[in-house]
Amino acid sequence: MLPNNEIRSPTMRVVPQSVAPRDITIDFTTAAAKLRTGQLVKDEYFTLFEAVGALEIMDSKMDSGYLGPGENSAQALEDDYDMMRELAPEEVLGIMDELLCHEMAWHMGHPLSQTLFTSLYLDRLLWPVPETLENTHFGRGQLQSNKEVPDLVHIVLRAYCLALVKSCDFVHARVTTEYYFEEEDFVTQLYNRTLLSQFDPKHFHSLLDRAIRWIDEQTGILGEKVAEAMRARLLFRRDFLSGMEQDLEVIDTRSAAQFLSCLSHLDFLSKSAVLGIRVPEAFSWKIQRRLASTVPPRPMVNISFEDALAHLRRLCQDAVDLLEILDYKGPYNLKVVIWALLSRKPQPSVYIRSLVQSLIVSNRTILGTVPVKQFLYDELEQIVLPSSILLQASADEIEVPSDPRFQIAQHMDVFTKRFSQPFVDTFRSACLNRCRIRRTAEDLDEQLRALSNEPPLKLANGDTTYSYPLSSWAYHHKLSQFRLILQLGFELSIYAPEELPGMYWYLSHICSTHLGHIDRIRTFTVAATKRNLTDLAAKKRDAFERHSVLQRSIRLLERLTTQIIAVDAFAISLHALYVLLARHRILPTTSSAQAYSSDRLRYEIRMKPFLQITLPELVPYDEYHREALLEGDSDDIVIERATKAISEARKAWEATLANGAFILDSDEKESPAPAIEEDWKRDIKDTMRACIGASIAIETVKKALKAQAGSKDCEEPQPPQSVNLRPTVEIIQILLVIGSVLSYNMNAGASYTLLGMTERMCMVLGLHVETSGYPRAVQAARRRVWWAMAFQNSHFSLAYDRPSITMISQPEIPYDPKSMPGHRGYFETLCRIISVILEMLRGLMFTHHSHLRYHEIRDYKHRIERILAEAAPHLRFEDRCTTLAEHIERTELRLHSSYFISLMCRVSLDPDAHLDDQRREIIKEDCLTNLSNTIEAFIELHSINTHASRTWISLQRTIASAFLLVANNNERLHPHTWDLIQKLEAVLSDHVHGDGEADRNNRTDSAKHLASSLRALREVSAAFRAHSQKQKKLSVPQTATTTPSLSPATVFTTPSPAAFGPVPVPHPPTHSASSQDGHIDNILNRVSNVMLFPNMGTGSA
Amino acid sequence: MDENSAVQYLEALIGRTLRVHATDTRIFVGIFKCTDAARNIILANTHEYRYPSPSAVRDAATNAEELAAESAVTAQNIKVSMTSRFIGLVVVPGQHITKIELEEPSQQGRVRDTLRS
Repeated sequence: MLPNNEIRSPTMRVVPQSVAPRDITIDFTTAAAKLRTGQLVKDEYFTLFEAVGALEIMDSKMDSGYLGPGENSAQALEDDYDMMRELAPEEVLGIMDELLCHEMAWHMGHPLSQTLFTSLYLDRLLWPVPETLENTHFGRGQLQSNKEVPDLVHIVLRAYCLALVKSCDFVHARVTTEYYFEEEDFVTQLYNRTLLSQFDPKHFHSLLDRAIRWIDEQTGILGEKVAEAMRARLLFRRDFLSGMEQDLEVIDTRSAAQFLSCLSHLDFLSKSAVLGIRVPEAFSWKIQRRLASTVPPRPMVNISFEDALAHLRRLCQDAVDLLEILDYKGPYNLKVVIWALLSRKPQPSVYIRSLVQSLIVSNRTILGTVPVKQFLYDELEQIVLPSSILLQASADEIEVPSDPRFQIAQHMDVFTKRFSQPFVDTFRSACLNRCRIRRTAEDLDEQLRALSNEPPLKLANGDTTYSYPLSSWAYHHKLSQFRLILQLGFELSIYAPEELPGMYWYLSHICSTHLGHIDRIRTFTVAATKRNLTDLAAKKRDAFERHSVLQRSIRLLERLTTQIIAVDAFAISLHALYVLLARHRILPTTSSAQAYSSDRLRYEIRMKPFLQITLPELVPYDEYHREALLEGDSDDIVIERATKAISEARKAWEATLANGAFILDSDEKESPAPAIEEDWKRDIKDTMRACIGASIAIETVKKALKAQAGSKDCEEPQPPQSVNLRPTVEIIQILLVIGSVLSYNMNAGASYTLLGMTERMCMVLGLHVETSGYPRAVQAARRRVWWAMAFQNSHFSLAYDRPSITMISQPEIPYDPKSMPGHRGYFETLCRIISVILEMLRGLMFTHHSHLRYHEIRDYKHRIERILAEAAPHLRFEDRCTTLAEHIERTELRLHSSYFISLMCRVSLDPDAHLDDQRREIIKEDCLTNLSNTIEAFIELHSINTHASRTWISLQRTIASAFLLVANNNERLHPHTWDLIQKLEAVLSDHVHGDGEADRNNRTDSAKHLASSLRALREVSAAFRAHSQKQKKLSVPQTATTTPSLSPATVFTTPSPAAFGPVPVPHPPTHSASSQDGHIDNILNRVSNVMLFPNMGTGSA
Repeated sequence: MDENSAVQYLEALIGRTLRVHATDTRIFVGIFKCTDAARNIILANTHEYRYPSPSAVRDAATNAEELAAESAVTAQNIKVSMTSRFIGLVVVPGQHITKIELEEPSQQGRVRDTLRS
């Protein structure tokens, strides 16, 4: 709860009688001299931090007692001002007005030492502390016999001064008993003096009366105008003093007469101020040297008389209007009056705010009449529990512990004890200064938090058990507090411009949550009303009364709904407007480009007070970010949203205004608080004006956007929205599937082009780098998509020698959290291999080597083998596979890894490559083994599942391997190889014939190509069969024939590294078929044309 | 006095009430919190004492004379209390210190004196 400030007691030094000082100067000095520089001897609890706050003696800026050079103590301390001197009436007037200025400056928050306590006259009256009121006169401490104080000074000025001090005393007493912020709102420090609090106020009144009488007697002696002016000031002072004296008694007296009378004097005070003559010598800041002050000396505060009067006028007016809060009309109305009164601008003075606090609650009574418990019950009845048994006082009288009513009473008791104070504090906190309201709201919120765990209430009559009325109520208040905190944030301009879209979104989010919650409450109330209707029809006792209570509650809920809708709609439209401004970079940003702050960090800071609150849940940053920026909505949609919402907002505010500020009983016609209602209405009207302003702004933005769009259309006539190129992870996935289908459909050129776009989209989304801050699932999905893209991409680079730009950077492989060596999954393993391949491609690209060196081949091969060794058992051993999927994964992995290794070793097949024979043999051996491994894997894949072997990349890799194997194998045509080729033939014919031969003409491109490669494969094997038979008969001279007409599609614009070129038929190195059966080359050529490089050039053939 | 005993001596004074006289004749009475090699002294809960101004002394003297005249006793000494005020936590720079006194209950002082003699 908000504590009441305890009154600070002045510190007095108590010196025991028997104290003997002992001179230790020499000892001390010698000891101190022994210390090293920088060494401190100190109290162990005394910190350097405290030491910083110490006042440095003999420093003119810090030491209020310091006397400058040449100032002797007599002048410096005494001020040679003669208290007993005669003052002209005009001078007295001047002093009075200046004192009033100082008084108001103190009300505004300046310390006494810089305001009233600079007056020498007041100082003389107040120090030393007077024992009797007679003792307070200007001749104190002087020799009384010497001189008489002039009557004017003694009677008029003294009375004025004393009454002024006494009214300050009341203010001081009121403020210090309430919750205020020292130095922020007010400085209560009295510097060990008193404000004459020990004397009864009636003495001051009689002094004032005497002074007024005295002036009246002096007609003709004093100037008429001056006398009138002084008289007015004394009268004002008398009324002001009685006003301050009234203080809390206003609850009983209900009298605003004093302050009204004060107000009536103010105009004359302001007019007659010109008559006064200032006496600057009567004020001196040097008095600070004698005040018990723990702060450095500060200059005197001077405010103008007009400012002082303006403050005074506001104070009196607020004090008059204060009467309107005194009639208790239920918590809702009370909240409205208090908020409206305290939201006046400028904010009411600290005295008024403290007084309101005291009026709201003192001695656990609201407004001096309503017990806190009743107050809380009224609130509960209004909002969540209309005519509920929970609130019936009769329950308190049951003493049988087993009776449910007894238990209810106990429940409610606990509830009241815990929550009446925080609830009342929501009212009191309105009395703080605006910044503090915001901060305290955050605190109060914590207290309401605990309520979220209310158990369902068991009622005797089986009433709505699940309406959770008390939690509902607490949640309602929590949401109100949230809204308050956010709205005060706007009022106090604490949000940076770049935060505005987000904060408006958050406000609307809270509002819509609140609306949903009120709907929930309403459901239960409406249900209760329906149940009651039957009773009503039966004319049961209480039914009619209950009906009206329920209706009242429903009306209140309606009223709240209207208000929140108004705030919500306004927030939505401003949100949309600011989003547009931010999008078009019209919003200024406060943080510089290099600033450490980011949207995410700012959001964290803003939401800190809400972090611990479980309900409403904190919106996670990503969602907030998406919602706040209206991602994915075009400008048109956003502006449409803004326009709609703002007209909605205007309507809702109009409805709010029409509803009026207060809930009135049906028989009431007049507003209970006309003056404050005026404030409330003005506020709503201002809001409506703001709505109009916002709608004009929205229109302007709309026009500007249209104009911009128009000018764009002129520049580039093609419609900009023809292709939606805004990348998302989903779109990339779709594109990858399309690309895969395209390449399967023998449309590799189009596929490659599409993949390029996909790749760029990946980079736009930043998939190629690690982006922190995504939830783990999203992060993993992003990585998977990237690696899927990399797989296709690396295939193009390897098979078609197309350059790729993705090799530059890559995100982490999306390992499963449980993944570890020996248990790497299929996708992980494949990604790791691709990563090695990409590295290899990168190395070739950067070094401009056409092929790998021997040691590089060994190295990459080892790495791939190591990766395979770390794969999960089912990927390595057939007998560890249990499911179909595992078998497919195993064979696919074998296919690709073998293909990759064969690819690296392919250089050994190139007779022009610089390799020594021994190494060439080793690598060639590897190459051929892996080529046949590839084919083997493919055949196995087919045997596992015939659909699996249709995958385009696998199929293509296998056929390429087969031709390469055949072309390089004719010397030692292994029976195993033959076996493989024949099996492959069978697989292909499976596919070709599986498609059905009926509609040959309608075949897809892929089917055509499959058919032709099958044909080619058959021809090749037939040729080789013939050749090998011949070879047995005659030996053929080894002539390396060149391949005269390689497919035009294999000719790239960039010089291609031969090793990875389209090498199914590179340079048949050995005794290729001679003229008589030279058709092998031709066959291979034809095959390469049709099968392996389909339509790269045209893309659409 | 070596460094150790110097530190010990000063540490024994921590928390005691010191009267520090400044060059401008003011006296600062407060609880000793901290000092250093330059003899800067930090005092907590300090009261500032100032010698009465000449005018106050004069007034007191005339008052005393009047009293004396009334009671027909010649007063040699007059008593004027020093003005004092609370100023809280202060640091008195070493170069402005003219004298340091330790306040101790007279009982204790006497014991110390007896011990010394």
